[in-house]
Amino acid sequence: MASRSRALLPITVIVLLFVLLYMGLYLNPRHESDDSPMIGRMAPEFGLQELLVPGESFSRADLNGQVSLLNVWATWCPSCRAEHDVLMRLAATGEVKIFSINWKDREESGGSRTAAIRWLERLGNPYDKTGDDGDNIAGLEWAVTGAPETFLLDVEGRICERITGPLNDLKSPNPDNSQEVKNNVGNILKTIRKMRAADGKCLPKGE
Amino acid sequence: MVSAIRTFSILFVMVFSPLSLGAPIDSLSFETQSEEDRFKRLIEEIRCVKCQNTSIAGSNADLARDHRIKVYEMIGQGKTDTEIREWFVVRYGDFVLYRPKVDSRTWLLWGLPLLLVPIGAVLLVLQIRRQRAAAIDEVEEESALSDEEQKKLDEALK
Repeated sequence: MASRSRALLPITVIVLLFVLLYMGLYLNPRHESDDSPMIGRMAPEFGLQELLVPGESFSRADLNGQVSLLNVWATWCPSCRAEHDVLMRLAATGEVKIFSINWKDREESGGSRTAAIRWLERLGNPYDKTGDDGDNIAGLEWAVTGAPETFLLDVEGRICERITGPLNDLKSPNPDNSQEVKNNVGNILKTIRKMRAADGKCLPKGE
Repeated sequence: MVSAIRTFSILFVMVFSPLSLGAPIDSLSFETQSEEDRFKRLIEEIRCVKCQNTSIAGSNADLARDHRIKVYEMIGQGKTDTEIREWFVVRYGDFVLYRPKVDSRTWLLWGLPLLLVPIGAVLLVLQIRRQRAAAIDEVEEESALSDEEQKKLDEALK
């Protein structure tokens, strides 16, 4: 009897380890960007040349005074192309100001400043202002990890949300796909309307 | 012997050359050797936020290159290692460090091995003692005379 219980222990341990392994295999190995330390913070200071208007700038001060979105995009980024149509439709509603950072659009990344200008001329310009951040100066301050990426900002320029990946305007996003739900323009507009009702401030977490 | 050395060196080259070929190369120059050593150590410690499973030293991602250059610039500006790590943590979170800081959330992670080693040592000593005691018992049992043997011995000695 004693020897049997002694043999049972290692077997139990091994079974438990296998259960852990099995569970581990189904975890998402990617770090969730939702808990970025940037959220809840005031937008960082930055100053960029306006991409389309020579001599003008796009800087931190532009973010004050209204709820806005800041979209990070590049011509070398295929999902930015798909997202562009969504942004055009969002801009057409006139519900929210959209600013943008044209990120790392340089030859070494497979883009260029001229390609970025041509992109907006050809596909339309959904942005109120676009900063030229070819050298990833502002991008490092905003802790951008990839394009596309979108920040939701409150009336004082505080970062309420960080949305990685392309926005979508699907009528009914798949509830099992948390990114599709989070990146849904309809849901973002709902949040923005609630923010406006609350003095344009970020909503408390969980709302 | 010679052929063993040859085999070994061929194996050595085969095993390690893909690493050196794959490692990204930046042409950066340093004022002192210690600055270069610090640079190499720091870029091994900082995670590539784009690719996530390698350090910025081992990644060819565009953003990892920008981050290496940022580390290089900060070393040039005289920033300390702590300040450089902090620059990354403030932006990307603790996740960006391969060696997490010791704080209220990570003490268990760092402390558990220190705790487990003495526990293991005590268990090991106990186990050795028990086995030794058992072995001595066994030897005594075997060497002890049975009743019959004792009787024979007593008779012989009469």
